[in-house]
Amino acid sequence: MYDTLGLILALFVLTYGTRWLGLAVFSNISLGSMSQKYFKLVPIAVMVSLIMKQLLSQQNGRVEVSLPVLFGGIVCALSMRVKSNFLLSLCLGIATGLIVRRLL
Amino acid sequence: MQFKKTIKAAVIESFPLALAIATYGVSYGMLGVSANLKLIEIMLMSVFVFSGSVQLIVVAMLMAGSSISSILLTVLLLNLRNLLYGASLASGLSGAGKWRHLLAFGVSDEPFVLGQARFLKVGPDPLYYGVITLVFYVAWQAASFIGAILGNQLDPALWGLDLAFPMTFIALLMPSLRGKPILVTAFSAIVISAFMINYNPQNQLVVVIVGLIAPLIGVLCTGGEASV
Repeated sequence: MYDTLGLILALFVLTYGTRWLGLAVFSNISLGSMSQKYFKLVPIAVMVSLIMKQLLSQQNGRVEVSLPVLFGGIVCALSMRVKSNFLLSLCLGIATGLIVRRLL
Repeated sequence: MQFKKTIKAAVIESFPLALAIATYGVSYGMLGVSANLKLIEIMLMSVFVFSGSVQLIVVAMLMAGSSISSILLTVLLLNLRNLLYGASLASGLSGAGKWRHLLAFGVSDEPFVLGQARFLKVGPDPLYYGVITLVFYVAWQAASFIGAILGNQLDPALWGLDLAFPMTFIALLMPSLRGKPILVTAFSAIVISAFMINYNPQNQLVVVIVGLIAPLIGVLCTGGEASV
């Protein structure tokens, strides 16, 4: 119990520490225009990477494309392009993914 | 009036992601039980750490019998992206004053994505960020508790809840995919992610490395031209 509490405390320090440091340090530093552009591109890269981690999964020791995520993602993306309705696109993407999953 | 509008927008826009977060929270609670953690320990970790990726990896490493030092090093590396998130969010949270220290607790994947989209649209908005963080925090605590209680009774895949996570990010990403720097960054992120995942699927640093390198390629290849 006490070991686990120590671990939780260390996790809190590491996690909150990095969160606070990013906000506190950089909020007091005037960034150059290239740096600002760089940081504005970070969310795009992170979102794409998070999607890729969901799209590519390990099956039987091999990396394979998740077809429910692939087809659901295509429908979701097309829906956003055509209708720009967040909730509708989300529901269509999940429904498509579920159908593909049932068909496989 | 604006105060109420901001809160309403924050609750509505964070709700779908809160459902996705809850899915992971339930999984974390279940895994925590499997790692022989007590209910109080599972909940204390959620209350003080409030990070899905960190908590899921920690319980997985505890189950695998990893040493405390290797767990902490992994967590430190995983948390490096918080520096990027914090740096990127700082201007959007300007005006928060001392509340910034509390808002720092919400610097993580999902609030970051929603927060950035909001700041690009309306400028700095600490209230919005505070509300979405609170919604996610409540969802995470409730889901952790339910997961710990339920054990292994629920199958998120059966209900498609696991698909909510990638679909949400795709829906959020689509309106932003305009302009050469963004397209180059997105394409670079796809290539680097695919290469890294294919080379080592267990690599927990994919997001950190892609988050560092792909924007750099985007800026360098295009000279940061046009509006980013």
